Amino acid sequence: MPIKYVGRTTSFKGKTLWEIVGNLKNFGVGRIVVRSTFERYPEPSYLKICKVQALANEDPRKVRILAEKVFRGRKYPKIVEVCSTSYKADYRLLPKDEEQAYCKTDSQVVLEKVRILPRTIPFPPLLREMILADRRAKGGDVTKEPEMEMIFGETRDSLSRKAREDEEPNVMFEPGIGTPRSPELYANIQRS
Amino acid sequence: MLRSVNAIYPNLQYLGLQVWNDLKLSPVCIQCVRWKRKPRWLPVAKSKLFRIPERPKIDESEDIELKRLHDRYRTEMRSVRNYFRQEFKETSANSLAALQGSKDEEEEHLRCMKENEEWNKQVALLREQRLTKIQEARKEIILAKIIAFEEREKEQLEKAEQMVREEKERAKFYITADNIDKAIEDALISPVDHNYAIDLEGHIFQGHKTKPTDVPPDKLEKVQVQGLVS
Repeated sequence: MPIKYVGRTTSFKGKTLWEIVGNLKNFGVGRIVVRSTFERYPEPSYLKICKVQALANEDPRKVRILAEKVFRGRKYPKIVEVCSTSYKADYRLLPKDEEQAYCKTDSQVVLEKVRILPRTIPFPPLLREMILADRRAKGGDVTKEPEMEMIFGETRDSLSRKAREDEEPNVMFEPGIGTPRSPELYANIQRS
Repeated sequence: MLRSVNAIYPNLQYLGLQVWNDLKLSPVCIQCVRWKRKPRWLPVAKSKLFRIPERPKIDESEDIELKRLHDRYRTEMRSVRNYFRQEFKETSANSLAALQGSKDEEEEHLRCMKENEEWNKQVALLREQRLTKIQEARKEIILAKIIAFEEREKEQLEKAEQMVREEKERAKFYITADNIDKAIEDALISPVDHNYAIDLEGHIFQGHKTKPTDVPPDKLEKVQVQGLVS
């Protein structure tokens, strides 16, 4: 019988983890599962199942899985537990014959923060003028350019970090709106 | 909801206001609407129950560009907020500047207290002088009052004694048990007649039974009229 979907569409594509794992021999230990949402990245992201633990029948869609996680071609140093997101119907079992091709990657590197961001940037123009005026009023040094210390949100998976003292940043924080990612949007706009 | 100012213009004109010249109203008038939609606790309308909103289509290039701009904005704003937070910490109550300020305030207070004490001393000196002066004046007044009182007492005593003396003088003529017979006899001997008559000219004729002819004309007495007789 063909399935007819009712209601809003979703960006998820696939089955829940339990639907996949419950049908496999030995609960699919050693098999590889892919989250469809992460397939948008060019690098491979997948979970290699190490252990499966069924849960009490509180939430029948959930299962606890311990897996080796690779995200965007970078392998996590520790084994990861997947439980709270296991109910999402977004997982796909990788066929055994595709495993080797899919998981092949040139850079199976450890998650390392490679983008080094600047410690300070110039103040926004009006705030800069205010600070200079303040200094002038207090009789301070006006020739020195005021620098704003940057605060970056640090996450586990991000590849960037703030530069340490006496370290040269390799990513610059351009003034204004920066370099557009989609320059075609600005094609007809005169930008100074 | 927006409403053209023309809608309210006639009313204002009715009130005698020249809207454009007097009030300088903006040509758009904002009217607040309290409820724009159904209350949150009401269920979906019957007619909308099976309506499925279309999945919004977001242009991919626009999406990534907006995300980038948003990230930039958040990062920069976080840094600006951090700057203001630091600045506030420096200027707040526990900062070095504030402590220095409170110390200065303390010194200023001490200085003010010292000055105040000096002023108090000066004022105390002036007050003492004034109070001693007042005391002297009061003493004099009280002394004068005491003297006056004593004099009055003395006068009254004198008066009383005078009265006593006069009474003693008069006591010689008192009628007592010893001399009552003599007094009766004297009274009988010389009867006193208090009756009198007055004629039209005001002549007094003493005695109950005195006739006008009994009194010689050169011994006639006239009634002394006091006050105004109308």
